[in-house]
Amino acid sequence: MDMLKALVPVEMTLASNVALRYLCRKAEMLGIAVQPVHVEEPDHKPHSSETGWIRRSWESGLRQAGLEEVQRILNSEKLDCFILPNPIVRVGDREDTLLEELRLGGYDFFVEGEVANFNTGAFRKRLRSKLYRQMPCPVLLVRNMIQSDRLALVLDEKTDVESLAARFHHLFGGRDVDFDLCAYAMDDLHQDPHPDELLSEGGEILGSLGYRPARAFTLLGAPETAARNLGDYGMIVAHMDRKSNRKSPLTEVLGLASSPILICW
Amino acid sequence: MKILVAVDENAYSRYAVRQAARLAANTWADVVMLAIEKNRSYIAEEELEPSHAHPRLRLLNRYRADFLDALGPGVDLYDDRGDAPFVRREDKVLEQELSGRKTFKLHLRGGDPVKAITSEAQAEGCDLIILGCGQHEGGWGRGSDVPGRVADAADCSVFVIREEPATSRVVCCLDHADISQESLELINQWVTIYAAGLEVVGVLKKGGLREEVEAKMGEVLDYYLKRDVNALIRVVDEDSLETFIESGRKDDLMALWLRHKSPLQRLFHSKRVNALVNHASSSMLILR
Repeated sequence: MDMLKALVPVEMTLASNVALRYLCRKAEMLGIAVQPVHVEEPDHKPHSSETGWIRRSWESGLRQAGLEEVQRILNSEKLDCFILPNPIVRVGDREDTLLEELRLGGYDFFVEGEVANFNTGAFRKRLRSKLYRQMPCPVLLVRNMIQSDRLALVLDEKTDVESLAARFHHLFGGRDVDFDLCAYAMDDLHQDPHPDELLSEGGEILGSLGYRPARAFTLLGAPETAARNLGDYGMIVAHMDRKSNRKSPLTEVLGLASSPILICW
Repeated sequence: MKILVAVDENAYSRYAVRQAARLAANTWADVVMLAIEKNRSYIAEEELEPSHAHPRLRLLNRYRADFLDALGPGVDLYDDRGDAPFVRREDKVLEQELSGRKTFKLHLRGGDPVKAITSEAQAEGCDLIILGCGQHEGGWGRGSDVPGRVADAADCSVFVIREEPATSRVVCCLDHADISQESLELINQWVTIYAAGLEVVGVLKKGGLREEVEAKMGEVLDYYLKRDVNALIRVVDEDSLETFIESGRKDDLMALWLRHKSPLQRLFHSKRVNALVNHASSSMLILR
């Protein structure tokens, strides 16, 4: 069983702290090696020298400060999981730098912390960002340290079930994963496919890959209610179509959920 | 800790009394139970049976029994005699003294309920007022907004408790870093009593979380996680805070820290605190 490699930004924020602690708690379930990354964003004020050794020295100073910050955070948290020994510290635009590292580093997923917001606008903005629209791997967005190890695979009418199942197999293949299969819709009228059909399709595809959910269920209702009903899961796994800009009820559920969410593209 | 439990004749008061007893049993609190009646005057009151002159004394006695019953077996904090007399004090308050190892008094005051409750809390030096409240309305008499006005006017913390279903989630809205250890422990008590989950909500100012609030959220999160409380974090924009509080469900307990320094205090000026408390679906704990 290969170890998965996750790129994880390490920053001096509550969200980053929660993400790191969650990852280390779930390290056994996920089987991951954590690659810490830290991006120092230079301010956009014009500097006396934009090129040359002054610029290089200034960047080198920023990098050194970033490295010290990362090491201080990692040491203070006493994290009990496999953290790759050399944190990556870069100076530049955060999104561009992370995208470049994700493309070149062959990571299995990107993990970052986010404090859930009552207004889902912040989550939708994140989904529309260049980083999220172009990242080559799934993202695990950690919002809280949920104790449970049970996962929920959530499907809706727009879910590419085959793609989701393949990603699930890639990330969790060979591991003992406890998961439920859930089909979500606001209501079950005029849904195509109907939530029951989605469950049946999902069950068949996952079954062919050797997975059997502990429970398969339909979740109907407003996003607020659905998000609360999914609150006990240690992780919510869902698929999103990045080509579509349409706001879907499932996006709202994911925006409101307290649990960490693994978004596969 | 000293708790004032204000009661009226509605069912929610019985529920509030029972929850107050659970808190008292856990914290070994001193307790004052207060009922309020309309101001009355009799020509020869001494010739009347006290319970005939003041029918609310019977109500207090019934709640006293409920309170002692809800403490549970083996909790020997208060005197459980039923025959102690009510004595009129100089300030016209009728008092029954049932103190054991801890203070337990039944008080009956006359006059406006809001004034009576806030005066009583001040006179007795109470840390927390507990009072019941109807769903989507204040109760305490038709068209009354007593719980909201008490929550607004009191100097100490106020717990406006709605009837069952029992709380399954405690939501703490944090907009500043100046919160006391006592208030954290009070939240912890309710989380334990209800076996509820906890959500710590940071208030965003202009889209961002102030550094000290973020640090405090981290501290609060660690405090509860160390005590094995299932604690979650969330943020809400300052502009959406009222909507957020109003969206609380019947089985939520919304806790707000209101202090003079707190921007929430500024945000929720008197009328808003009053309206929020009276119209919310959830129970409300105003921490001071």
